[in-house]
Amino acid sequence: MSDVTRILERVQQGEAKAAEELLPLVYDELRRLAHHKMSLLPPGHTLQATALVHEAWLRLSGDQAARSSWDSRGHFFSAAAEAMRRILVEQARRKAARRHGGGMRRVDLDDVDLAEETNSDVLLLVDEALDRLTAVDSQAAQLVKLRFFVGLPNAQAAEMLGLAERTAKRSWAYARAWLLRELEKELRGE
Amino acid sequence: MNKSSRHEKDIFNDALELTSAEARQAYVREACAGDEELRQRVEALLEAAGTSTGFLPHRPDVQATKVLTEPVTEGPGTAIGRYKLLEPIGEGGFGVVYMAEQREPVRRRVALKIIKAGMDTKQVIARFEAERQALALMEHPNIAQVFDAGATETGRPYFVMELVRGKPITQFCDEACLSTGERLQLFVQVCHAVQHAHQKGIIHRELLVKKLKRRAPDPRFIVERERLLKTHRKGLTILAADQCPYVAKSVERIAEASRTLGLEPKVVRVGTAKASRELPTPYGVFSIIYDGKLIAHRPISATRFMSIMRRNAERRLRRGVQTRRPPAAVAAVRGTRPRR
Repeated sequence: MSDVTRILERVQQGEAKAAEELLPLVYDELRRLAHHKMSLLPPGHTLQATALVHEAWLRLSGDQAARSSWDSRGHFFSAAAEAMRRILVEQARRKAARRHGGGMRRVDLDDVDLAEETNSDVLLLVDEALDRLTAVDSQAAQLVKLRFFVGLPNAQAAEMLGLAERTAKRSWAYARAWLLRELEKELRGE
Repeated sequence: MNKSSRHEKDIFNDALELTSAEARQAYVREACAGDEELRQRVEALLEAAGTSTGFLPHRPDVQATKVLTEPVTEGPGTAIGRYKLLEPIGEGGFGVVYMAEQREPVRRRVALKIIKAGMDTKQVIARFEAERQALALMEHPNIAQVFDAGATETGRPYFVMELVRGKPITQFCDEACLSTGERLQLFVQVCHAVQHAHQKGIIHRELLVKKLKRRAPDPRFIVERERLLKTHRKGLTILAADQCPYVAKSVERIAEASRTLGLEPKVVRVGTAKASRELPTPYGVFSIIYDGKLIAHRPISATRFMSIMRRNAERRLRRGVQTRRPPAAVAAVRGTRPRR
């Protein structure tokens, strides 16, 4: 039985805090896998986060993968989402520190619409707002993490959180609007 | 999720299903039933939804996977605060320890422990901070000191400790061909250090032989301060140590012997969150005496323990004390097979 399977078993038995222990395992595996795949891909080719996380899940859960509950998969993918999030935030902070010498510049609301590359200052604001959303509606926050940082489509994210698809869609719409509303408040200095 | 936010979520979602702006406005006004603050919040949500086409795109930022393949942020040569990292000397799930060089106000080599990039969640940071505080509480010549603490430019915390290099205590003892008595004398130093920590309510969750180092000509053995936790003493428990194979095997036999006598033992696996509240403190000390081969005898063998339990059980039977006595217990004491 792998480390991951053992941890998930403990979580299933009620030890909720054990889920934290997934993070370093998932983090290391994601790094390893990413490095491995990048070395195989032709230059300019990009990795898809979703496929990467799925593969990490299969590798770490071993032969238990097929038999795992949606709940266990959910914990794993949530840990992966958190790992991706923290990596991005770290990079964003580094960029911000280099660019502004520590201070934050004023961000234009138009920047928020960038679909290509999430502006790092915006990401930092979103990251903080996400923490606040967790306190208000943790399920919506979980959804954001799974959909945005792992790239899961609604159906899969819903399944992992044990939600009906429609409920998940509504939660997602709410979460995006909520975060944007928070960002606007932040940028207006409220 | 509190009641009012659930309320705004439902009103928001229901309003979104209406097709015209006027219909939405009217619906929201009605649904909020005079709660002006709620209405404003929902209106703000709806406005945000209207402008949010590019926000949080459905495909994840490809940057995330790109960043995964970038080299680790810091390494040999990186400057963190007034310290220059030299080489990594230890690594855990969440943190790394580097040997580092300090120039101001004194020039020396130190150990710098930092949370890994990407591991800086709120919980990890809180634990890291708790560890740093626990370390800072102690002041003993045989325990590595904490000198400094800080955070990187990206906000990741680190702290700086006395660098401990040198031979593990067993190697030292073997190379110096120390007798059992001499080894025990050295060991007393260790016990004093551990005792100091215990008095501060701190235990070392991983007191292994390799953590006791001595750098000649310094006569002290330094206990490396990894994985310390505050703890409260509580009853008697049986400990399972992954690090000490002997103890792990004995635990099973001891646990079985206990159950045979109708006593359900509390088995605590060292290294879990529960252990911090349940570890009786002398644990680490015994495993070093045995596992480190510091002296030849086992602190307690499973067979000896079982014979002690057996004697106690026999005594109780003689006195006719009523306890939960499953057939297996009686059989074990009498050496016969249980009758079903």
